[in-house]
Amino acid sequence: MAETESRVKRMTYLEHAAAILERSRVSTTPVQQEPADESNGSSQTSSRATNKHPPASGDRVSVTLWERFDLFPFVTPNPRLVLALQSFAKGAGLAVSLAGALVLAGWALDLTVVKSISSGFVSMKPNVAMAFVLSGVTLHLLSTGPTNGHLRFVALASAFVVAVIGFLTLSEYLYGWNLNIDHLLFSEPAGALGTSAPARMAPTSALCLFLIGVSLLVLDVRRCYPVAQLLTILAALVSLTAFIGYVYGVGSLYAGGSSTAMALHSTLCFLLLSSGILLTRQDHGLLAIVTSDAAGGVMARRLLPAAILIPLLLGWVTVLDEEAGLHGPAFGVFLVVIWSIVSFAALTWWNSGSLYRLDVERQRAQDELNKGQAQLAEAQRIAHVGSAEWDIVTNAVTWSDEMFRVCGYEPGDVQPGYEVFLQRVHPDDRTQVEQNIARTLRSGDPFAFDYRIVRPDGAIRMAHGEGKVVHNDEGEPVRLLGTAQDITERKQIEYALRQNEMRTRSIIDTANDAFVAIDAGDVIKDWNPQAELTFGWKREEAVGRTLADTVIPPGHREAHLEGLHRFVLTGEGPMLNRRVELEGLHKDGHLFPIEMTISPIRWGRSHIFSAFVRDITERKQAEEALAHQTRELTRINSELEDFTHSVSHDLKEPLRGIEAFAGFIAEDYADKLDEQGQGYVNVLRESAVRMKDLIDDLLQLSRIGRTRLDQAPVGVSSLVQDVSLELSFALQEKRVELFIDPDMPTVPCDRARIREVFKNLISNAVKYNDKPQPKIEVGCRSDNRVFTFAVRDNGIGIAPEYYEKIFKIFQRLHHREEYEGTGVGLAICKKVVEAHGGRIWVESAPGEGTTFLFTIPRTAARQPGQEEQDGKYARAV
Amino acid sequence: MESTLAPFRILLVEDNPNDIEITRRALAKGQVKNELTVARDGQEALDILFGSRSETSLPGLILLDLNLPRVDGREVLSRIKGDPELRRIPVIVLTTSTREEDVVRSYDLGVNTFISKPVRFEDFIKVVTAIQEYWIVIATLPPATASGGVA
Repeated sequence: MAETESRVKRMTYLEHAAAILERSRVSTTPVQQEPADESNGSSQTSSRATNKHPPASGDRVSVTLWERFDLFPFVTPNPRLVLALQSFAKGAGLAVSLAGALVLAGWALDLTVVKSISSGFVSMKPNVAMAFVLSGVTLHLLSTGPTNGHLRFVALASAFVVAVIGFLTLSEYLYGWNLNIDHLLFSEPAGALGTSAPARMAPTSALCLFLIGVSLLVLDVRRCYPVAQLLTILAALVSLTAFIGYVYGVGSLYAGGSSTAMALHSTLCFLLLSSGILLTRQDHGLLAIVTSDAAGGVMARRLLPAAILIPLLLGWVTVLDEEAGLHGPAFGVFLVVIWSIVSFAALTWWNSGSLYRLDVERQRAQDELNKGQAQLAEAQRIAHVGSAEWDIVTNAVTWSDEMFRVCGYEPGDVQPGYEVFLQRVHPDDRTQVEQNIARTLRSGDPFAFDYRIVRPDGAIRMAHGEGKVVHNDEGEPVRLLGTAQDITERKQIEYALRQNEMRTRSIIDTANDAFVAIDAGDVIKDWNPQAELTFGWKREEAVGRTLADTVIPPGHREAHLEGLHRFVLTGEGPMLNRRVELEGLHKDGHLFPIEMTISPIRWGRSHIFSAFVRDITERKQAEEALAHQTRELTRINSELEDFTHSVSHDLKEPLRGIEAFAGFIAEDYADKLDEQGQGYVNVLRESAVRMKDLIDDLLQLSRIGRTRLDQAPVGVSSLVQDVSLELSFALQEKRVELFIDPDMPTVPCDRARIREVFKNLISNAVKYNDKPQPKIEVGCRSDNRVFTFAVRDNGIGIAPEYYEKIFKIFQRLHHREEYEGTGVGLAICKKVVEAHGGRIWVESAPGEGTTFLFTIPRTAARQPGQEEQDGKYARAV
Repeated sequence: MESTLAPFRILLVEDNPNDIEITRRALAKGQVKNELTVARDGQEALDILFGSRSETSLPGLILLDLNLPRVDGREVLSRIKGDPELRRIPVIVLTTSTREEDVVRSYDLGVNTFISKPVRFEDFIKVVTAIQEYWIVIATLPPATASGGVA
């Protein structure tokens, strides 16, 4: 009955919860709605402690009134005790009914022993017996648990009849009426013992019947448990009084003046009935505490029997003592006093000890709990996990401190509530969150989802929510437990990792080299698109195969596996971390040259080997072609060298003939030639000589580019001294003042070529000088990169527009008649200097002199021939 | 300096008639009396030097061109310097070549002087004069070759 009721109640709460969800789903939780929700929330929390219906805020007063009637809300009855008491109540009901029936039978058969127990006692009146039968039945039925409508009606009707019997009899006494109800069943002769009116029950019995009848009627009326129990206790006290009277032999206690006395077995029945009524609803009202498992229940169960029995016993002993006349009445009082003191003190001391131990234990448990809660809070704080609990029955929501922080509040900043939480959820995620929770409420399955929280300060955090519904024994959802974990950092790391991985992936996928990764067992783990092109295997085909069987030519497989094995065992990998050239095997079976670098990466306790592989077929071909070309070029070059030599040789020989024989003509036929003829012969000879100079210069020029520099440290000062000696004739002829810096450095260069440069420059300086006192200075300055040499003269100078031009072959600025020369000298200088990695230029002012400057690098220039050697790299074996 | 001694014997190995004439003329202009024998190729030179060694006196000086028909001047040089007697005769390479390797090779083979033929006849005369001056007048040569006798 009660269970049905609570189930109905819970269902409505569930609907209520669903309604809340529905409501928040419809409204996207606008801000202005919050205050209303909060006030609602606060009333929910205040009602939380009551475990009761959430009332509308207007019902607040009546709630407290109801609360007051539900005296001991948190007690948990001891189930075994409850069962025992329930059985007792059932038994008591049965016993009272039987007793009543027995007495009625006694009336019918006129058996005094049944009617009155002893002839000296008042009889139990038939109405009382009848009432006992009825009330016993009611008690039994009500104690049997949930009853169907018929039986319940029978029970309540019986109770009603009992109450009416009591009420009517009481009325007869109060108003002196005779309603003729007393011998409806049986009649009793007038003047029966202790009976004021025949067959009319005692007024105390009438009162008790009335009280018990009413109490049985309202026993299961909600909120009336205390009332029913109070009425029952009153009836019990009245009957107890009568019973004590019988036991102590004090007639006034059961007879009550001239009115009819309560029969002895009536008093017993009443006591039994009262006890049954109290105990059948022991989990409600006043009795709840007595049966509880809590310390209070234990105390009550220990003290109550003592409180009832000890005075009874002491009083009885005192009465006996008095009757026996052993001692005076004062002694009886003394006895009561002293035994009361002793027994209650002992009882109190005993219970105090129990209470003390209980309290200590409770305190310890409390401490443990506090510690556990502190640890939990700390753990939550560390893990950024907030927890929330929604009591569906009361709609009360509680948050852990961390839950507040996850939502961006300090604990206690706001009233926790579903709407408050929902308001913090990112608007885009709200629907998802609500649907998840609603589904969990409906289905009972746990939920787990990620969502975003927008904190009051606007910060967006990533959160992971998990939760489940807690059901009660009947399988009804009673609580929703949820956690919210702030996973922003984790998400950020995950995001960064993912980005990183995507970047790496895209680098690998778009690499121009094939990328292949294998594990320590030679199994291919990665294979990029370029690898597909290079080796012909698709990624899906390649991954999972062994590298040896996929791209390594059969002849090398064993060596490869051995190398891998050796590295795994010893950590030695001669092939690793350097560029190696090998042969690769294409899927179609052809071999091709590859170049690759294998890097081992530690992967847990094992290794991953990754390699960038390049198909170098084309490069190999190009290298081959280049080598061929170089050989060809060298051959052509040397042919050319031979050619130029023969050319110069063969050209010069006739020139020599022309010159010499023209000379012979001039000599031998001087007398036969006129002046003009002599002049012609001279022109012939001069032309031949100039032709020879030209051939020599061209030959030299052509050799500079084709032949290697013979570089060695050269002391420039002495070199220039040599040049000056060679040119001494011309220098002396023009009376040139030549100053050579004696401290010029030693420079890495080709001695003969640089000598040629100085010779050309100094010759030019001598040649292009119209001053009466020509001066030439040769000097050097240096910085950390180059030596700069200068040949300065005070000659005719060069106009700036010719600065570039003069270095070109056959460029002459002057008529041949003015200055002789082939026009190749500066071109040779430029070529030599540039072959050394330097440059040459001129600074000049016409009429004032010219300075030729050229640089030679401090380190020897690289030459075409050297590069081949330097460019080689280590090849793998 | 006018010499009254027997004419100094010079062997010119030269294929170019112009150069032969030029050389002859240049030698004639010198003060040293000389007797010029001309070999027109390497083989002829070798024949003169090796074949008729007992009959005619050996030259006191050999002017050798490098580029020659039949037997090359280098080969001739090598044979002369490889021979224990002939090697004492001073050999002057007189050639148009200025090629470095020719110069080096010649000296390696034991040439006494390497001279590039100047184009200008005046210069040629200077060169020839200088050769006569040095090798005939200044230098002291082993007696065998100087006298032309066989040791």
